[in-house]
Amino acid sequence: MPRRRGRVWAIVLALLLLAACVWSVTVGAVRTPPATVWEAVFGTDNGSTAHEVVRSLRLPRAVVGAMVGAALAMAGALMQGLTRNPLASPSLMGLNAGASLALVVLMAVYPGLGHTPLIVAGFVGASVGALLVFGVGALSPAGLTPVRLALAGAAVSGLLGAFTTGLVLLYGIAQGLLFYSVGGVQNASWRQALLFAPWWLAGTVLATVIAPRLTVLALGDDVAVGLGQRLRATRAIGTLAVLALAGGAVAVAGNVAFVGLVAPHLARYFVGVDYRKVVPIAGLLGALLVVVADGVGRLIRPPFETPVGLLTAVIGVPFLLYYARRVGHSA
Amino acid sequence: MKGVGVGSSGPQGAGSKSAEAPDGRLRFGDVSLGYRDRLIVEGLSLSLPWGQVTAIIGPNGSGKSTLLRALARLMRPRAGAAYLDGHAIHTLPTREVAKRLAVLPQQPQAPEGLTVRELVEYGRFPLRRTLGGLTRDDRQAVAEALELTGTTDLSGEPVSSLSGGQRQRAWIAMALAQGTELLLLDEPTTFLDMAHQLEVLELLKRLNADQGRTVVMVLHDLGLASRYSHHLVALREGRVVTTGAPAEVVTPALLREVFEVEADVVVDPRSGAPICLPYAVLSR
Amino acid sequence: MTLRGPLTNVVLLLVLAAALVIALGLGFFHVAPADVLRALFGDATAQQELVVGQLRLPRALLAVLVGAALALSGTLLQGVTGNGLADPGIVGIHAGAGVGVMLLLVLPVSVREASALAQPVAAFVGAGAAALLVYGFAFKDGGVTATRLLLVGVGVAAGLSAVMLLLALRMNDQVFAYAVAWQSGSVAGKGWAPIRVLAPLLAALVPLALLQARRLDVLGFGRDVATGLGVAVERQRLGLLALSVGLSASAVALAGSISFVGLIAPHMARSIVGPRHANLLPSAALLGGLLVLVADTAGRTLFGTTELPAGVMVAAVGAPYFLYLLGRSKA
Repeated sequence: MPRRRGRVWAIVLALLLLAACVWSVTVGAVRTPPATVWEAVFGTDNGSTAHEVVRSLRLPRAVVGAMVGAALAMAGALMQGLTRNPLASPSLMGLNAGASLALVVLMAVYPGLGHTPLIVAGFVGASVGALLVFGVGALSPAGLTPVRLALAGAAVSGLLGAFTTGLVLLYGIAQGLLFYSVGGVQNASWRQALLFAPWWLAGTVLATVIAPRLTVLALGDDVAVGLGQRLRATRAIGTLAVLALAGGAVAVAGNVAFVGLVAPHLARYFVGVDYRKVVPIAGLLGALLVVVADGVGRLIRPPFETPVGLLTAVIGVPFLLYYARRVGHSA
Repeated sequence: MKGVGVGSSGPQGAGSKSAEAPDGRLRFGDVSLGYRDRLIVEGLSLSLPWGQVTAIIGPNGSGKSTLLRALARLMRPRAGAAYLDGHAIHTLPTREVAKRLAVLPQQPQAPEGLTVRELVEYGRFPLRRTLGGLTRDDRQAVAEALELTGTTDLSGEPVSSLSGGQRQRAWIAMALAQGTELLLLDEPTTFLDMAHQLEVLELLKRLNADQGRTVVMVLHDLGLASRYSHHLVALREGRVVTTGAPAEVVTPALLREVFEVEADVVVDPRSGAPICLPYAVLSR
Repeated sequence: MTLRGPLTNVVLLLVLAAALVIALGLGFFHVAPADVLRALFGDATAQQELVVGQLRLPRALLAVLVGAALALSGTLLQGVTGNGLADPGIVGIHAGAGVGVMLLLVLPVSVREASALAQPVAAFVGAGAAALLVYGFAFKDGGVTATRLLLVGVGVAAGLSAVMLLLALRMNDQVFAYAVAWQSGSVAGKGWAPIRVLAPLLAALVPLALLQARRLDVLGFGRDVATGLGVAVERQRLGLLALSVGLSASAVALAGSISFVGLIAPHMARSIVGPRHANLLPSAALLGGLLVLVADTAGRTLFGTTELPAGVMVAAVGAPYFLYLLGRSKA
């Protein structure tokens, strides 16, 4: 029965995702009827604007959006499993702040750089941010309790954010940074998709390898070791997967908050605590979330686009508040 | 701890809800207690003897700590109340209560770096004014508390550096400094080694015998409860099964009903208290 | 042992005074300490008196007052929640002030410019509203636990940040730059007006805080022991939180969002004078004032003609110390 549940959900979600992508491609400032979409994708290119829009703007946008959503969700699931902390997630753990800072540093020092170095910088920055939070929490005897994690993450994000603001003020880079910090896939392109793809694939493969071990890890370090698991290897691989997925996603799409926090919880709610199921289901949910949010963002006040990050916050913040109310029971 | 003191009564029939003792200074009146959606104790009435050591015993989840916490006003009753000298405790101003009873909760934590003396000084908090240092009475109370608990020599040490038994004694000293007649302790000996357990219980016995303080404690260990209390209250699933002196209460029948074990009961040669020796789990 | 605390605070006061004198002398136009003292008493050249008395003095005093207010706020918050990572900024107070100010900035110019007080009032109201939100969401089963308060705070802060971004999108570049500058916290160019508000406020609130010293100590034992000693825990917590928010909101309303003073100062103070609030509160206030003074002075003297706002400099100064703290903290 449980096994079937996972498969059923996977199929349902995959179909929903496909539908959402199709819908997303039809939506926007210029309404494109499905027939035109079909022609653009499968027919010959007749050079019309409509086809251009579908091929170069909307399609990559849907694809990149799905990749980013899946990556963030899987990274979040991995982080929650590795730290045994239900609040672990890319945005709450300093990855976004780190990436922003790295980008700003690069933009300040070498203005007008192309995409590739910026993505790499974002990746490096995200890693630094996460490692700061991880490392600092790991050093303390109390370890990373949910509260410590949330606070450490907020503090590191705030600190890195202050540095970012300082640089922004000094070098006048405000506007570009704004769209970045809000998070979205407005500027998605095939080029971005291709740049992200290797990281995404590597991260997904590692995540799939690690997933079964995370379930065992949830029983506690001692029990896991007793069952023959190699903790350090698991943690190392897991961290690499997280950095590849989350770092890449943040570098491409900026601060899309809460996907990494909410998707794993939803996945666990649907399919239980086995990470072999949670990771892929979370990935599908995350992809769905971002694609739908992106589409909705285009529908709200056309031609103005509401960034994805804001829409995911609409789901994420109430979730966080709901969770906070349930959890705090100590004095 | 032989002797049936004033205030004990014979064991009641199994499943009865109320037990009366002659003095009613400390009692529960039809009290119902619970957390969120779960009711742990319902409609319980019980009288506790004054001037004696009472131990509340029972299996996990029976409501022992819940009952003690309600008595200490750490928990608000859903219905009914705990009464001290005729007043419903949870309706009294909390500072007032602190002048009449002192409570030592489970696993108390002291902030880093606090010394024993500083900890005990906080025991005077309910009696002190907002501004101003320690009065002579305060200092005297602190010195006495330290002496009674044998922690005078430790008074300059950080609480966190003490052994389990020493730490508990320091906390008891703090409760003593409050200067109350009634002391409530929630599992004061759990997690302590044998030696430290004896340390703490001997101290409580002395405080009762020499100073007449009333002690009510939740104990996990039936043997210790039996040896160190005048009066036992046995709970199961939120109801009082029986109350009375250990010699009357600790019987194979009780152990079967409350703890679901088959046990022999022997008399401890030193104290005359009944000690139970479980040998089988009760088959259902 | 008993004199150590008060004695240390006297020393800190002297250090602060000395720092003030030195700070007043530093800058583009250098003034020797002896001349600074003379200028303060009206016995120096007109130019020195102008620079020291009119330009630098209000700024330095504001820095000290703001720092003291924020430090006290943080100490109270950490005392109430029993968590050494708590900071009014992290739990949404600063974000609330930011939303207040941004809402004002989005309104038509006529409303904005109606009164010089418009901005501080908007910030104060915003901060207060955020505090109410946090408390409201955290309230359950008759009270707030520390964990819930902090987690809800992080959630509310995240939500308010999203709102700020939403508002930012509606602003033109100029207004946005102004908002960013305000957010980063600065004591520059404000004249004597804020001091005329803040000084009496602090004069009223600080003694109030000091009176709570012993109660704060007892709260530190946890809910059960504190109740046992006769402290009405919920009521006290509410009162102390209100005090903390009042102090913080005042500071932020007048000087923007200077983060981390409330986080770092109590820790610094604790390592010098120990945990008892009778010594901790004044000590933290003095250290907070010193921190912001040093940060602001550094910000205006170290970078040639560019000035970095105090908020950014505090982060730069405080970040390493904060990370060190996190690494060894046990809470």
